Amino acid sequence: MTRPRSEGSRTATSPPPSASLRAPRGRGLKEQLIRGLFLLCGLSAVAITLLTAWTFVQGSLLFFREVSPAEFLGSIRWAPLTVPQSYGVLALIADTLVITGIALLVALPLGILSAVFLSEYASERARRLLKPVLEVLAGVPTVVYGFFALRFVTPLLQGTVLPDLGFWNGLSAGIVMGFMILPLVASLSEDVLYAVPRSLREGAYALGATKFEVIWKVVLPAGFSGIGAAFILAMSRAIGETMIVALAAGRTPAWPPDPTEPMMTLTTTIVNIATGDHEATAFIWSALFAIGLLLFVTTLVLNIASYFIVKRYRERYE
Amino acid sequence: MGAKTKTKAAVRRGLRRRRALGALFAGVALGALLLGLLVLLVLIATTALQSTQLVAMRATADAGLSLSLRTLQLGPRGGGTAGFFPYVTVARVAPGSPAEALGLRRGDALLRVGEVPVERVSDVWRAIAALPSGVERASIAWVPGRRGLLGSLRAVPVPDRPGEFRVVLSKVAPGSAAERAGLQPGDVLVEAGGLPITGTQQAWQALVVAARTQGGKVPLTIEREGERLTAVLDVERRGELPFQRSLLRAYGAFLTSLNEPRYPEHAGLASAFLGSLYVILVTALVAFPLGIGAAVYLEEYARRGVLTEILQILIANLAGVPSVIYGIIGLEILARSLGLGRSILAGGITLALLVLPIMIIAAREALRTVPPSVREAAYGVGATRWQVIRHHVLPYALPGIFTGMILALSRALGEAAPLLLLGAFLYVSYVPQSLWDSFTVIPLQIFDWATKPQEGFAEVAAASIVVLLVLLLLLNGTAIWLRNRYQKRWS
Amino acid sequence: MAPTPLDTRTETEALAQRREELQGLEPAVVAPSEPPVLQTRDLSIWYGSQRALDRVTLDLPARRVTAIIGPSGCGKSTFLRALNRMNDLIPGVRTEGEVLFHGQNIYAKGVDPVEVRRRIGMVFQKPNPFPKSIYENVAFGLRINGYRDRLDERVEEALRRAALWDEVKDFLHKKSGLDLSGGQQQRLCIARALAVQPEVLLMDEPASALDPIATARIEDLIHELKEEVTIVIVTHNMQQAARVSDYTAFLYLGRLVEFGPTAQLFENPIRKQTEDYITGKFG
Repeated sequence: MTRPRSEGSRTATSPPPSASLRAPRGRGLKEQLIRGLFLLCGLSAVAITLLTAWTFVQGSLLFFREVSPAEFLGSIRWAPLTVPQSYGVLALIADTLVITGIALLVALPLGILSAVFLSEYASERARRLLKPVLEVLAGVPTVVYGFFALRFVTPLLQGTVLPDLGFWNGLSAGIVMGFMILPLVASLSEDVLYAVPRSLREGAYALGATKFEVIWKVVLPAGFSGIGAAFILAMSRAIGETMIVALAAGRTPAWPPDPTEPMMTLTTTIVNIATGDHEATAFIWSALFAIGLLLFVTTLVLNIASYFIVKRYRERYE
Repeated sequence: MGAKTKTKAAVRRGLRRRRALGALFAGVALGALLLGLLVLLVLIATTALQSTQLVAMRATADAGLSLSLRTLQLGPRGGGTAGFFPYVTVARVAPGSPAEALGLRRGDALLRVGEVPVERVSDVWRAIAALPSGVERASIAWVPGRRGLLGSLRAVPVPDRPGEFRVVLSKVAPGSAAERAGLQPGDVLVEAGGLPITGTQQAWQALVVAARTQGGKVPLTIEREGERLTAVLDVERRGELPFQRSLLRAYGAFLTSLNEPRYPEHAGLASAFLGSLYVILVTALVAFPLGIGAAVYLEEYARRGVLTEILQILIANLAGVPSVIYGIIGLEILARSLGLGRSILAGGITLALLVLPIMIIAAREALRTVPPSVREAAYGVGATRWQVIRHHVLPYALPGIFTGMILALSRALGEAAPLLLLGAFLYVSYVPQSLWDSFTVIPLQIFDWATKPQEGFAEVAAASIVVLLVLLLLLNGTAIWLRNRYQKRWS
Repeated sequence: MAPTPLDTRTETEALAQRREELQGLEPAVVAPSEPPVLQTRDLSIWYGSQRALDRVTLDLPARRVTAIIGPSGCGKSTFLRALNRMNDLIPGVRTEGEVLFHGQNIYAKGVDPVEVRRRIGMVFQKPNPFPKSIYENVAFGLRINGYRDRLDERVEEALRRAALWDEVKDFLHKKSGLDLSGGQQQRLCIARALAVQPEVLLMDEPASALDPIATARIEDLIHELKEEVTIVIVTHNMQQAARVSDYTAFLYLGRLVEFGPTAQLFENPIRKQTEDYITGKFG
């Protein structure tokens, strides 16, 4: 079959036109192979998750064969290396939450207020200048923040308001962690507030509201769920943060939790076990997975919660 | 009517109050932003300031000195002032160095640098840092070590008083202060500068502390043949050492020397720097293709469906999993199950797992910036999906993808927790040669130095922080430059 | 409900009534005398659950210009994009019925949409040159379709046919396609489509983003090209349809209302809806 064409000369110089509309041999296969390759890359995320889950569940099963979940979650005594051994993480959880609480106390007010300023008051130029600064600050490695906590904030607090503060303490770790998550809170909240539709604001202005009243009564309530998502994400970050507490908070669980004393969080416990000089077969390794699983599930639940809140918020306003 | 209608004046007053409240709020919001930024900037600035100590530290190292802090503990029993007396000794003298030429030896105790009395090692660095600019020399005063100052000492138990010793000079070193003061073998040392002598090392320490507090000529009470005599020992020696201060030289030496676990003035970042570099390279090689591939699948191939939705949720949330969790995975799966050990390879792959979700998200965002018209145009001339991706979508999105990748790598560069777990060594005093070598990275080195109690390591940690932040700034700068450059070109 | 005067009816009511009128109305078709290249048979297209095209049957004559007109949203772009399976690229689009190319259904199993698009080229509403050099814009289609030799010659020929050669020959490699003016960009897109020597060229409102002078050049070009290529052009500009096309199809609410020689359709429309549209009563 030849193509109906008026000028034979040009047709002759072209490669022979394929008679059918079928793909040339091999093209379909090649395209499928390439597609499969990309699919494999995409599935790597699934693989990582499954691998993680499998590792943690398997290790934890080993752990819970020896230690009852009631003891794990119900006891305040964490003493895996002294006889009688005890594997209660309640004190660790309490310490983690206290430090997280301090961090959020610092980060939330400062972060949300900064976000309000950036989104509502700052000029477009200032906003464009400051947003990248926030991003760069959010990129400062946490080990650096840990150094700040240990070498600046603790001595500063000792020298000024709290002379009895320990060299290791939860307070300065929490405060510095607050400043670490501050850029994150500010940046996320700013996105949320900036996305509040103009029409909402204009509606309020048209009723004679001042700028402050518009922000306080319209913009912030409208952005509430988005800011909530930022809060949850910040909390997840604080709970999972390792280097700041490993450097500044010490490695002794405090019960009852007292932030002026050394504290041990879930993450420092993990570091402690992993860097300890244990035999490869020692039972304490399996505690690593139990605590890791606890941490993983907690942060994952928080992250997913925040993900869906943000998603719902976006659907509402975009 | 119950409600009184407001007068115009009242309304105006109300409005003024409302406005004032608004202004106050704006002020508070600005204050919060500035406070946050200020605290972070102050922290970084003080670190930078602290790191400048490195210059003076390196200058002492260049002069050939390694210093360490010692203390003399005086109990209440011996009379006089009880307590700790810190002093600084020369721990090592580099062969062929100016310090050796000057006659400093291992075990000598430093008294002053310039006019600054030396109690702690940091006093030496402070004194050097305080030298007027352009002055590259400083006088130093020191007390020679025990053998050089006195000779050989022997402790003889006191009869009937267990635990107590008399310190006897058994040999007088030629040319020593002891010889010059006329001491003879057999003399018993009783008191130095008012401090009772109770041991051989303590005898010398007492002389050092006395020299520092009372001046270079120390009265020494001895017992010779049952008779108490007082000799005046000229213990202090003086000289001048060159101290070359240069920020560039200091950082150059810092970056090129190997780690030295004991003396901060010799500490080097070379192993950690190269370790970081190699680990990041492995991370990039693993995460780049996977990240781009997954992003291309999700943006170009995937149909809306359950699988795609699951993938999206997983990727979004994996990005928020604490990094320490990846450390456990790296340790259990890579290091142990796969037998990669504590190698660069294991570290790099661990970090690749960590940054993969970030990379996928960044690459997807870049792919989304490719206008649909470009795809349509290419399909319109009969391109296959792969041809469209290869010839149009990827080239168009590549600058954006690279920007995201660089930012993800900068995250990996600063990560410490997963590698700490993986068991990267804190002391690595060699340069890693292959992917199978154990390693350390800059953030871990910072962690190690920051927790060392000895003087000077905090400053070294601060200097490493400066190096790390500069590296990150360079990476971020490159990313931003790339973004701006190509944004202009395409739009 | 009491009858209301026509001008007070809401848009929706009017639309509902028109839709009702169309139901069961057979299209008025004056079959072209030329042999068809592309034929559609009961072609229906859904976006999700919404039907955008309703059982359109149409023969497109070889080496003639056929214009598709109709108010916006009538499905004309959807129809055009169905002719070379560009709709495949939009998620959620479902196609029923047949599109026959030389008698072969392009939606049949085993037919490669890529091959279809190579033979049936497309020019889009907004000029969309690749962000590459002018030369590369044209050469891309050639390369991926396996033309390896005499690329320069073929690029030149395509650019000449698109009446762009003289304007760009001095900076083929130096200037990006995006550096050209809007009209030049659109002619570059035409050259790009022509380079792979398609038999049919689909044009989706090719001049809607251009100024009058550039539009005139494109229209002239269409006249020259129909000697060799079958052209299907979608336009909402009726004057343009009248100027450039030999046949015109009027689509309304996803249905083919009328198809015939352009002169006849514009001067003596058979259907009342066609007349209403071309005289500007709605649209």
